Amino acid sequence: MKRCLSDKALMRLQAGDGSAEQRAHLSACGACGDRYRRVDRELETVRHVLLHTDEPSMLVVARRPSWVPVAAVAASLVTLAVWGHLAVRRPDAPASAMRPLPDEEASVFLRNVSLTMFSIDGRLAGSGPDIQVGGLPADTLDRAADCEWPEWSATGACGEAPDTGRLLNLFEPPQNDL
Amino acid sequence: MIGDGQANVERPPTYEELFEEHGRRLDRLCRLLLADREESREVVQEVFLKLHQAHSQPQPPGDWGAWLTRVAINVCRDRHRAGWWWRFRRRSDRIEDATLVSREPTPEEAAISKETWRRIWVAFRGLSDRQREVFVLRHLEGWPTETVARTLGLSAGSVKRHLFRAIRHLRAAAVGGSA
Repeated sequence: MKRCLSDKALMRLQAGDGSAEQRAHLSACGACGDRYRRVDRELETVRHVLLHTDEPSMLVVARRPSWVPVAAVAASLVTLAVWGHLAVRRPDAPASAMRPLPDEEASVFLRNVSLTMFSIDGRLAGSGPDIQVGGLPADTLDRAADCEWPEWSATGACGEAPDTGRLLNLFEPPQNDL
Repeated sequence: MIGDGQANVERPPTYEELFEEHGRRLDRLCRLLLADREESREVVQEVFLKLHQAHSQPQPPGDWGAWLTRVAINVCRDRHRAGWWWRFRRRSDRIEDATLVSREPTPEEAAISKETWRRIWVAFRGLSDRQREVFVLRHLEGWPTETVARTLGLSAGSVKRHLFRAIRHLRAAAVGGSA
């Protein structure tokens, strides 16, 4: 190596780093040797200050933490809380699976369920006047709705004697399917 | 008498001798690493408490000086990790004490210009924790690079890199330039 070492290279050598070539140059070059010793003297000054002098009191005071980090953390938390609150209450937020149904919608839904449960041959029980349940007249169910068990009978109005034979027909398949 | 003399040469150092020999050095080391006089005193007390426990062990460490330094560095690191809120509370409580610090400069301080002295301390406090530890152990304690690396759990190359950055920063402060 013919060129003199840079300051950076000298400090690397001070730190125990640097290549063998740089070390060889340092031992051969008088100018670089002088510069290296100057760096050493400067570091000796640093050592002396750190070992034998007290730290300036103003540094101790200046290093004391201020309210800035505390305020920054608090502001972040408040922002997060406000954002979370707004996100939950946003009107255009996607509908939740747990959204309660309106009364009207619920009643339509329940009616459909009950009609489906009492459907016969795929036809809804309340879908037309021609539908008969197990051979009963169409108005039987309407009349039965006005009665309370056990007063209701399959044939008559409230208070009449029940006709159990007709009632059992409810659970038998219609004749025309056979 | 000869037998007593031989026994004296081979006997391990007592607790009091170790305290006498290393107490001030560890206090200075902790003050450099923690930058807090009160806290460094607490750390030194903790280190010597550990020494008291280790001293009665059947197999004590061979090199008490290195052992004490290692323990002191670990306790200082624990203090750093203890959380900023705890440190903030402690420092905030003592703000009145710090403003009372005022004294005449020592002859060493007078020999070095006040500006250089201040710049060096500012630069030293501007180092990262790792750079500060490496510089203190390598240049102020005079440890070899390999021992510093082993103690801090770093590779030798990493120690050299940290040391180079610390030297560049501190040298710039000593000559009055910027790193």
